[in-house]
Amino acid sequence: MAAVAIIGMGALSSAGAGAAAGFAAVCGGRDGLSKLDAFESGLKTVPLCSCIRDVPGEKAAPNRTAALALCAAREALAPLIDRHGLALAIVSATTVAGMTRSERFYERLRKDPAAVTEAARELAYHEPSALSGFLCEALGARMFYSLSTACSTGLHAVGMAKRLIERGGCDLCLAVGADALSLLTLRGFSSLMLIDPSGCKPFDKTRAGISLGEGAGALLLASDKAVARTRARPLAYVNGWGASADCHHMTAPHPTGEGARRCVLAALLEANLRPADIDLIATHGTATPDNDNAEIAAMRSVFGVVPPFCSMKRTLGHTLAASGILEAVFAVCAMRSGHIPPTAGFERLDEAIGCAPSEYRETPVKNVLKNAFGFGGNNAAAVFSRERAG
Amino acid sequence: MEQLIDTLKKRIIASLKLSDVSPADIDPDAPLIGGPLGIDSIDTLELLVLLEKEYGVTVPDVKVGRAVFASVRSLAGYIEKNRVKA
Amino acid sequence: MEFISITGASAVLPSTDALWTQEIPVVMKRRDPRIWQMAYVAAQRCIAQCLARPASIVVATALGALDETKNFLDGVFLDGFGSPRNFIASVHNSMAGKLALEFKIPGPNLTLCDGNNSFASAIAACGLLSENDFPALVIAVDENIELLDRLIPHLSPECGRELCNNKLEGAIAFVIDGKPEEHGLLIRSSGVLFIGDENPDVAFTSALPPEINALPRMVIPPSKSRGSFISAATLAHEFMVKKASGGAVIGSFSPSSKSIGLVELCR
Repeated sequence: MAAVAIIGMGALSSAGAGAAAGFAAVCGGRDGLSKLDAFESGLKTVPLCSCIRDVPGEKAAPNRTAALALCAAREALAPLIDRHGLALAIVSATTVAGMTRSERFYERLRKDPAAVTEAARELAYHEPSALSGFLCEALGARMFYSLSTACSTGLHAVGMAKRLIERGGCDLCLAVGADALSLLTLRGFSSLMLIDPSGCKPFDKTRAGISLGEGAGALLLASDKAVARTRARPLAYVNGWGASADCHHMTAPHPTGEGARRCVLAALLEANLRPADIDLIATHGTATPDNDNAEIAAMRSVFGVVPPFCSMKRTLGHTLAASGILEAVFAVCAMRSGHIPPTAGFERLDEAIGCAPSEYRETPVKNVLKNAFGFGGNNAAAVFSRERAG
Repeated sequence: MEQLIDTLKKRIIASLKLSDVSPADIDPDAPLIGGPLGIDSIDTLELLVLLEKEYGVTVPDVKVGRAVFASVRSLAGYIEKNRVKA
Repeated sequence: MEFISITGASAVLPSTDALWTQEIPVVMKRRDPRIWQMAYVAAQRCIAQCLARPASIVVATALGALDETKNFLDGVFLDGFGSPRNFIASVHNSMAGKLALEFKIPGPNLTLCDGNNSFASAIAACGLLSENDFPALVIAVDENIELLDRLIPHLSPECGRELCNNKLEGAIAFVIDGKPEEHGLLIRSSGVLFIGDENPDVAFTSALPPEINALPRMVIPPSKSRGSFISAATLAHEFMVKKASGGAVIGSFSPSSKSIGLVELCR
């Protein structure tokens, strides 16, 4: 049966530049948050966020999100020295896109209407599609999709890239997700009272909200033909993807995690795996009271006894559209090295949830499930495995 | 207090865009959230913004908010006790 | 990509359809953003034509809920208070989420933001769904606001040309079935192609799929489909409604991503 292999990975986050550095931070349970100082938040209590000090190439890129995306994309493409004539497609995932620039321009425009003459320059890369176009130009890609489904986007991008390869649309597809910190998202999540300014505590009894972050992740997927022709080394396989909608509420998850359950089951079915075959769940684990509760309820309904699980949101921050791919990169790293990552920020069991994230340990991991849930009750799940689907 | 209740009704109508509701339609003791006005959890967040913006009153979390928003009267009471802006 | 069939289609174009607002549910009318309302009414009209309820949603939008985004930022910049409701709507996939909620559509929920090529991208994305994700509700929706009118004359010449008729806002909905029906209208797209600095019409012509069954075919290059973000979807809808025989290939061009989209229709 045809398989979709991962032959390259890229990551850039506050945990470090590159998949290896980031994974070391995740495994070390590092606290990746710091007080936001990149811009004025306008909030009474300045929240802890994950902020990246230096984004390579930011000055040359049209905006910060694009610079983040390109870094991760280049790292993922690096193992592929020669494409051997195979075309590269891109599925991009972003919520913020050029908003970091647009929101500053709009602020100026409100005070000085004459600034409208700068619209062409300031808004040129506002849209998600502009990010994709920028990446295509920089990386020599031709076909692309620009997805934007909030916090689930990254994982949907991986799923779409998988399907694109399976259906013969292309042999090489890069799924890349990126989001930079922006005033809009910061103030937006704050207005929904979803932020814990003192730092997120995934699954913890006293958890009180998310910590925003910025970053980018990239996975280079390849068909059997591409793997053979380029003689690339598969790092892992994308064996299943599930997508569903809660149909419950615009921001809160379904309390029993019903939609999440359906999409996880779909991913398992596609991967031809039983729940017992999953060795690790890299959760969405945003640390809102509702998400963590609903997510474990969903996992319990699928698995009975929940397998070892972790959340990387304290180490990486919640990187929104990037999170599905960025965290998938580290989930794959964990699988390859045989580790269950710890969950930074977790201290005390919440009896209402009934189980705690795993402590750091070494153990063989053959199949890992990654979850990502977004606004609008949008659910994504993907199964990554060391072997091709059976 | 009655004047505050009156003003509050008008502000709630404006903030939540309840364009087919008049102040006279709002029973000051009826439940605000999930009550006859169809106010949902997102509206609660809008009301929190209203409180802070117009009266300088903050509510520590959404749980306390739900008690405060039990009715227009309880909301007025909370504002009287905690208001910073006149 | 294989052809998939259109089993239902509708359009909400406020500039020519003043009565559409009568179909907005009361609760939505007073609080929900206009772009949600347009998408809702289009979806409602379209779903009413079909026997089977959609299982998934694919939304195509270039700029999403622009008014809500602007309103949120206005709140932040004016007095430091952004409205939570504005923020929720400002997220690109808010329309798709709202439609899933209102019409109880539990399957995959995707939003493609590929500028003027969003419709082509969404149709291509349908080709990536599973069999049990059909029927799929596909909606192309974009709104025009006063701010956009103010900005357009100052955007790049290419962007200005593409939005020359930007008052054409609205929602075009299709219900798509995975299996090509014998007597229905078929549609497909291979998605969005990056063309760099190549002339869009030239690139479009090179990318034209071969003719099918020597049927008459209407070819609309990107330069003829420009005007608004929903042009391509509007033209596809017109083709369907006119019940013209033969086929059509509708091109689109997005200057911000230097790319073209191509949607193929045939009976």
